[in-house]
Amino acid sequence: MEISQKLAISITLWTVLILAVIGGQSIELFVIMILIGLLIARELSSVYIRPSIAFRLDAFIQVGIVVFIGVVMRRILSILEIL
Amino acid sequence: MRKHRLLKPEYSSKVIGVIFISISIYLFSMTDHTNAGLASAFIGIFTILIVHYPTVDEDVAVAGLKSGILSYHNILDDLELSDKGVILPPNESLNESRTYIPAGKLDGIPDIYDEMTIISSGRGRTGIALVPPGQPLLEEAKDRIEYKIEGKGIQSGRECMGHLSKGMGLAKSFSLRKKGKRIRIRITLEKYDDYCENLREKSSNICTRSGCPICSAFLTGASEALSSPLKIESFEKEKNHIKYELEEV
Repeated sequence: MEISQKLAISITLWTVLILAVIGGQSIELFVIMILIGLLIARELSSVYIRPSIAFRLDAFIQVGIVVFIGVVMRRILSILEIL
Repeated sequence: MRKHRLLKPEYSSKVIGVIFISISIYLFSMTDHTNAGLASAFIGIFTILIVHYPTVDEDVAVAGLKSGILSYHNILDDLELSDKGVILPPNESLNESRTYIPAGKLDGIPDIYDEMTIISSGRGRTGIALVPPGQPLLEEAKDRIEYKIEGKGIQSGRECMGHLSKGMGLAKSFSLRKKGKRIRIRITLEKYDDYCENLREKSSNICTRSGCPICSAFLTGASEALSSPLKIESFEKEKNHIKYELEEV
């Protein structure tokens, strides 16, 4: 089995696990947990994956970070009672 | 056995991805399960984009392996040599392994030296001796072993084959067994099974004469580890399982 297939299966299992634990409660927590899964997968697989796969994985992480920044900004604004 | 196009990971992943995205569309539009919809969409997009597809580098490597061995076997076909080759390990007159293909029925192995290609040592001892097509692959595997495998026995042969299969990814698994003078090698191919099938379509005698670079690397590894000339007696392929029967001569 190719490393990319293992990567896809492990991220799928991680997402299903988060969904089972969090359920429909918090979408913000759900997105952040997926981002953590992606970061762990990227770190553990960095030695083995091809540059093309690493580039795609990085793109997912960058999108996740943008979403994370959005979540944090929203939380700050709500604490400051601006939003 | 050649895999159907849709069963290859690069295509099956896209089918799985589209199924997950369809489920996510259903979850978003028909239900209130936002997180489940988001999870399904993420898995779908991730599966489509992340699963490996063959790179140009891999295609070029396979094409290189194919072109080299086909020209090699075209020469052997044109010379109308025997269908069964003998793998010779290095010895006092030979610095590196050779594949000896007799002109007719094998009637003893003639004396072969490094500088000899066309062998003519009298009736029944005529043929050609070529560097095995799998020699460069075998050298790569041997570089990863800390000792020389030549004459070290079946266990060192297995260690070398382990580097060829798991280390270099040339095969999924293998087995090497010896019973008296008979040696049996089984190789289970994985990603190079299509390469093997394509080659066998183009040259039917390829497997019993010397083998393709992959099989030849395994056969030459066995011959060097046992330090004994091995005559290819039979070859069978069932699905992706290859079985070689060899005899020490």
